[in-house]
Amino acid sequence: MSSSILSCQGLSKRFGSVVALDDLEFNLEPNQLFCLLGLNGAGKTTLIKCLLGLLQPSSGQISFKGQPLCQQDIQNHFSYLPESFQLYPEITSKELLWVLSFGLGKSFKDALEALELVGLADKSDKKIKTYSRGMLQRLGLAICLIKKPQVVFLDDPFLGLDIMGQVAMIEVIKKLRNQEQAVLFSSHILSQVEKIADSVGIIHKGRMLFCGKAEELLKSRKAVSLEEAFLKELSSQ
Amino acid sequence: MRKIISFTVLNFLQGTREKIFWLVSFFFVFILGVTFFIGLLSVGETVPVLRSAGLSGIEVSAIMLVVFSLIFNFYREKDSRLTEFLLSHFSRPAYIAGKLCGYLLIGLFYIILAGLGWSLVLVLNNAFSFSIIPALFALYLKVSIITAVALAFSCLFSSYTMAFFSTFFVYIASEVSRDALKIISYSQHSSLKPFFKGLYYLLPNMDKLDIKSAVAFNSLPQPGYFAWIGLYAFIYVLLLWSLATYIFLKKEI
Repeated sequence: MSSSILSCQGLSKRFGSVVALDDLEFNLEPNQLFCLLGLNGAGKTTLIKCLLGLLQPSSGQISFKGQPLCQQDIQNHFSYLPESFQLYPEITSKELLWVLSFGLGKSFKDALEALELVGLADKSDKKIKTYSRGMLQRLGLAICLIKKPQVVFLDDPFLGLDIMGQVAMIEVIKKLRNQEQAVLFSSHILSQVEKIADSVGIIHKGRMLFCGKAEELLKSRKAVSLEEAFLKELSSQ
Repeated sequence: MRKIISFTVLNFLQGTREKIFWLVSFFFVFILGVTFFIGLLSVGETVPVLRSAGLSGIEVSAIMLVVFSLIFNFYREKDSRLTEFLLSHFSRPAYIAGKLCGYLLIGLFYIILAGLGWSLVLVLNNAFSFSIIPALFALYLKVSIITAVALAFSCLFSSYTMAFFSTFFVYIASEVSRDALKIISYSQHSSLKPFFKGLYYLLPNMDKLDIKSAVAFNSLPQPGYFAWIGLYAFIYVLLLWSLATYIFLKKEI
């Protein structure tokens, strides 16, 4: 039996005549930091949305711990931080966490711990509309962590963050690995990906070109950096 | 249930703290001022005019508030990916139920606030009567139905404008459908009558929920009438909520 926490076989998604995902296969192991790489419109967000049940795959199978993925698994064990998202602007983060932790059946203490983990505990009384992009990303991550998910999906978590924001986000993502949570994220900032990702998947025009350890990619493409390897992989197509 | 309560509270907090809530409230204060002066000018008919104009003001402003706020926030959440974010934690039916309950609560909160302001004007003009309480109840039922209509259209259409205009169209059509039916009954084209009759029963029967004139002239219907209209509105909202949930379940986000 597979040890993968999440896997998909033959996953395809079509929007009319446009093929967004074409026969994708990959496995996410527990405790793994997996990064999806690809150009804009390659299918990274579509893949994440299919895995979260926000989009219905045209064909293929998604499994969670060896069983077909159901809506209940998504709500109980998955968390998702979308790209450039907004929250309720007129509510303070403390209120938001209090209400959401109640809804998720968790204690407010759990929510405050999550806020502490992302370094926003001292800003909890401020309205969300006063938050910067980076603070909003970290607050979103704190919400994702309240229910202690087994898989966290982060869609371009470094987008719009300055260097300090990126470093802070990397630290939080590393902490997730220490808490034995699998993380699947997408990013265009390959220098940051190189620092944290255990495995990478390169998606191009809806197809998975490479899926494996970053070092394997560097070796197979005889590259010194992930950026170089990524470009060589794309140009080979 | 906890998830629905959680969403209800979030929608209520967000909805009552937004500028639109306070803008509509300010608009209602303006209407109250106008009502006050109309009352002064209507010598001999001050009480009915104050009661009727005040109720109309509350109705228009409450409907503006729930329609604008609900539709605006529904699409804002979708465009800013908040819906995607929330749906990884909560089910789609809980999201829709929470949104509906939240806006039903906002409508109730606003009608209570506006009702208190209006009562103050009535007291100052010696026109206050406890009959305004059942009138506000009937008005709340109207607002509830329109809230559910706005939610169903928001789930149905991918465009903010379509949802907005469709909701207002339904509101206006349901307000005038009784009169339209009367006009059709005098028409020579008998084939049109079943069509308009069907349309009348399909649209919310707002004429049944409109007791402004009855309140103005102190001739309130029997208590049983309020139970019936309450049940009617409840069933209508329930059907629209089911429809909205069904559409939202089928949608790709």
